[in-house]
Amino acid sequence: MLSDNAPLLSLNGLSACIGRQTVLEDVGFTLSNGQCLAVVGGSGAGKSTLLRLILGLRKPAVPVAGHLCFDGHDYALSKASSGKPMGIAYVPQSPAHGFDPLRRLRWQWQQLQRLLGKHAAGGEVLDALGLPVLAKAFPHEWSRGMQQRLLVAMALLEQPKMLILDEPTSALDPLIAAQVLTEVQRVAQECDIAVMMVTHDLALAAQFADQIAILHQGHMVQTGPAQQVLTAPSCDYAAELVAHRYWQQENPESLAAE
Amino acid sequence: MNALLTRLGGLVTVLFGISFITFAVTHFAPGDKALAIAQARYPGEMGFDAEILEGIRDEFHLDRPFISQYLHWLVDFLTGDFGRSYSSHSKVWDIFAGNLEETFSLAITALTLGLAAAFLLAGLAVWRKGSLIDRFAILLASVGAAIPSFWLSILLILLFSAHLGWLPAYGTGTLAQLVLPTVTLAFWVMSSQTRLLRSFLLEAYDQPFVETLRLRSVSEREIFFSHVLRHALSPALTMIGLDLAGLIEGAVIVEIIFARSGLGSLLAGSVLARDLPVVVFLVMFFALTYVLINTVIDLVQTFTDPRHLAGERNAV
Repeated sequence: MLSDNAPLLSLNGLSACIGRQTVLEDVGFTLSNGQCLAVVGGSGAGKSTLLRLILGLRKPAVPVAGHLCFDGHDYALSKASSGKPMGIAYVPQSPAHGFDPLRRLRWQWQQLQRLLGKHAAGGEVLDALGLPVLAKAFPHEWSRGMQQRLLVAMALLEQPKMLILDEPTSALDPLIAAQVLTEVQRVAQECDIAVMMVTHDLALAAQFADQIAILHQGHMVQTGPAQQVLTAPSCDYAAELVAHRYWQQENPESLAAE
Repeated sequence: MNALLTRLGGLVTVLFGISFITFAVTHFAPGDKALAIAQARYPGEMGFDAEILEGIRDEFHLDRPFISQYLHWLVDFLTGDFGRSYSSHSKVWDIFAGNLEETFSLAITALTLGLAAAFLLAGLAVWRKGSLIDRFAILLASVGAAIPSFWLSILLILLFSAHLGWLPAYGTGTLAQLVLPTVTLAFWVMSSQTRLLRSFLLEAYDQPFVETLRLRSVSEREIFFSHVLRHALSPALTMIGLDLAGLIEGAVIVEIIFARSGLGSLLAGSVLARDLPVVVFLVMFFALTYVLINTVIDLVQTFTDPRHLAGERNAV
């Protein structure tokens, strides 16, 4: 259906505002099959707004202009909600965002299977992520890392063409986060799934992403291959981020002190 | 299991405390008890011989020290001997049992109706938050909470009995006589619960996982019935338990206004007649009911929320 060199997702001229305040201005990027893009920025840069708008969520920001093309379908990003584009699956930032704490994990997994109508595929996805068969456990009875991996599995169950990861490190300790992301990277490469992750952590982005986009105060200040962004930051903010990353790597005790 | 025992221990302590306070209050209430008993026994007579009063003091151990009287009463009470009414000489238990059903059916129907209305209203309000229905629910709840039940019952009597003549204004026994008192109490339950339920539901909707469910294309109906309602039910249960105390209070007032028999009017009558065995027994009964219901609700919550259960398990 798509020619091989057309991007899976292209976003053009996205602007959005909360009330009268503009939170995103003329943001755009493209992403091809199997690629991993990290959107990096500090708090308030507009990262979550960007992610929410791509998922079709309209609160609290309202898009005023922009055009999204995903998998050959056009989505006008206007005030009316268009819903989540088919083929995008979302991995929430923490188990609290992903599971109902009062329901057993197996129940929640089966709920998703029922909605998707794919009863057969379940076991393979769990195997692929190294998860045990879901017994009668409640979410809190599993470790956070296991829960997060199950959330990835639930996203993969949708057989998506693209995964969106929201702040994958915020709820996990760095080691577990790296493990989960390694799994995601492996499965994404196996199944040719594109990955977009939103993070404040440039070091993490450098480790996992092919493409890095730096978002600062609602503007996309630099986009490009990871190596290029890291070696040749194009503006002051990007340079500062990159410098801070190297500073962190050279002074690991500063992280522990934080 | 430990938690269960701790709770039961606390429950017993509370009940002993209540029994002591109730007994002390009636014991130290002003007035000669022997005289009160004599007056209840021989209605109409005013002056009593010292012999009669002495006999009564002897019979009821009134000249013993307070602690001895309390222990005496406590042992009787624990062995199921609740004494006899001063005025009618019937066993307190029989009087109580004869009145229990009236109050029980009134309270249960009122609670059921009130809660059903509250759930419906709160559900509609949350479903269309900010709409006219929502505002109407809030208004009704506020107005309802501000109207005292004695006033509402009088209004209902004026409208449905005096003016329209559809329903009897007072009495016990038939279904028609149950309608107005039930409506009065149910209205009170509804108005106190609608507002709370609405905010519990909204709180449940605010939990971060709800948005993810929407992204997974779970229908709004399923989100409400399978997820949100469960989360709102736990705090709602606590508030319903607290409301039960209010319902007992309300029953006293409503039973008097509608001239119904029942525990409420029995309590009021006994207080006025200084029929202390009945008063003490009823106070103990209400306290026991209240404490028991709240303990049961606590336990139900502990054992239905997997997170609480984990907390208890870790604590043991």
